[in-house]
Amino acid sequence: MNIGKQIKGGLLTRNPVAVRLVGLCAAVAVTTTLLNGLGMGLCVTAVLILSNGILSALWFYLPQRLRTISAIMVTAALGGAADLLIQAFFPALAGELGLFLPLVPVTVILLGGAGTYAYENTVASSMLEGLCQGLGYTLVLTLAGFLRELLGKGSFGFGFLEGGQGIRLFPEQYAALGLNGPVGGFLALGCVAALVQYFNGRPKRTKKKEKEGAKG
Amino acid sequence: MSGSFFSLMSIALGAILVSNVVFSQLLGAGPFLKGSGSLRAALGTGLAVTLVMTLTSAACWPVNEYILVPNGLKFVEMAIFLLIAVFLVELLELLWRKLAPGRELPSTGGLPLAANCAVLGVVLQNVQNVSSFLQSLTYGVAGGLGFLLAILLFAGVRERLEFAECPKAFEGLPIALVTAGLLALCFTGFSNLNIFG
Amino acid sequence: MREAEEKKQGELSLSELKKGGEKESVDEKPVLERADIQQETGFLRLTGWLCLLFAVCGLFLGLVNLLTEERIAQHQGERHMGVLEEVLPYGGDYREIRYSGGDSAIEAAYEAEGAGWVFQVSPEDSYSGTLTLMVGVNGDGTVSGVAVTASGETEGLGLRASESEFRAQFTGKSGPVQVEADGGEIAAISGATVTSRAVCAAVTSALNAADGLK
Repeated sequence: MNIGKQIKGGLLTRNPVAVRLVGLCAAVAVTTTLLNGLGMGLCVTAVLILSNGILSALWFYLPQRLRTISAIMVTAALGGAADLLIQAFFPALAGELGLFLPLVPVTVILLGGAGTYAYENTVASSMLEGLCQGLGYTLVLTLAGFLRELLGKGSFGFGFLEGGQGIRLFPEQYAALGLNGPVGGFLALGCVAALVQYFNGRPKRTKKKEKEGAKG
Repeated sequence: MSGSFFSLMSIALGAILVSNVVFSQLLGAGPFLKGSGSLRAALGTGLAVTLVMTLTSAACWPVNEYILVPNGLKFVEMAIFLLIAVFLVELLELLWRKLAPGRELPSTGGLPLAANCAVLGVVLQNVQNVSSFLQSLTYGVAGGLGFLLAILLFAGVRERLEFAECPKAFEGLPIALVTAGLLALCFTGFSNLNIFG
Repeated sequence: MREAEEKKQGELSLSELKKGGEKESVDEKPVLERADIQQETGFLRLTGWLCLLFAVCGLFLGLVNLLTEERIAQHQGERHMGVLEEVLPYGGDYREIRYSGGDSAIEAAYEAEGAGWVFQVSPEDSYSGTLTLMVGVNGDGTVSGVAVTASGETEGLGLRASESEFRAQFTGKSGPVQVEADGGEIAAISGATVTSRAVCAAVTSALNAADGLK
């Protein structure tokens, strides 16, 4: 199995946010700080790996017509459990993620295509795919969070480093406060998506252009 | 204050303009970006989301109020709401096939419509904050209309954007996201707009 | 009989798939489509499966809930106490009391024996109707502190009602509190007059309620 290709797929060529356009909702909303982005990304990754693994193991036993609904149920149960666990053990993160914490299963269902990959591949491969897609998601969210926190708050690692205040990179009065709001979410994610597209387009630019042309 | 027609109207206008689902609450960015390729597609996606959001809000509130809360089952609420949304979308698809056989569905398909942050986010907010069925329904309709307005505006801009030149790396999604950011900036102009008051 | 056959076929395909998976790259399609392996299942079996699935998922969630419930409740309690302590510094226990005045904006009231009261207020005239504040009132009828606990207000502007500079203005005030535009002393958050007014209304409600309790 070509693990390297799968990892590269998750991070770049089939990046869930920048290329497959799934899970954008939470990606725009929770990236106010580096740590929020990272926390959300890792939570989604964990749920995705587990749900992919379970669905892949169940695939033979599930009646064909129930596959989608089973994928939804399993993911919802795992996501709900993740929600409760984060509330119990990382209450600060739960507070920051707010409404988007219970929406984790929705993101995972879209990221995993309701088990499309898991039902067609072995358990190990499905879990690896979950890991790769999750890491791709985490990468984008973390980068966007880093950018937004840097410009909007002027700090690094807010909520974790230096007793919750983060490392101050420049005085707060020079920070662009608007970036802490919805505007910043869209702009930061746009920049990160552009970065991913830049790396994707570099070696095979012509091929990419053709693909885009066919789509448009 | 609650219950009167004007208060419901002010909730609705507030939800459409001031706390717009997409631009202020950042819910539903996925279908918002995917379904806005052309004005026609945007209209289809917007109407579909409005319909589903209205129905799901209407269905989930009583389920939460009369089944989940009295039995202390708050921890399964997300799973239940997700199932209700999926069920409703399936039902709508069935109905659509019966009513307009052979015609394509007006949106990108069932699953993204049901597993949709905008729909479920509005439902979750409803069960957390809202105290009456009518208000919940109003938030559902208004949230959907807010989404429709946002996606129509955005599709209009995107149709022009196709012909605009921008750096290669920004083509497609990134420039769309930046545009959405600018539209969100426009919508902050509505903040603290005082309706009927 | 048929089931057994199906199963055999399924196992075969699974092993094929596993073998195939090692050789094939990720992008390639699997060996067998799912439709080839299983035929239509009967209605009863489908229902049975669904019920089983619901039961397992529900039990799993219930189990996790059982394990985490206590901790979550504890965190919520701590957060609540933290807010109370912030608006009205007091070492002891806050006792929840019944507020029987007519003001519907007051949602809850707490008494700190000898030090004052804390009121949970949700003013009617905020945008979303979900703005909730904790207002601490000293025993002498002056404001000891204000905290925003829930804000459905517009992000960015309205949210700044929770900023410390704005809230600090209320400390020590008494009597009806109003924004400067209405002839009061509170400098409104620029661009968020409605929210500022709502906060002032909430503080005034709390002060009146405290007056009634004295």
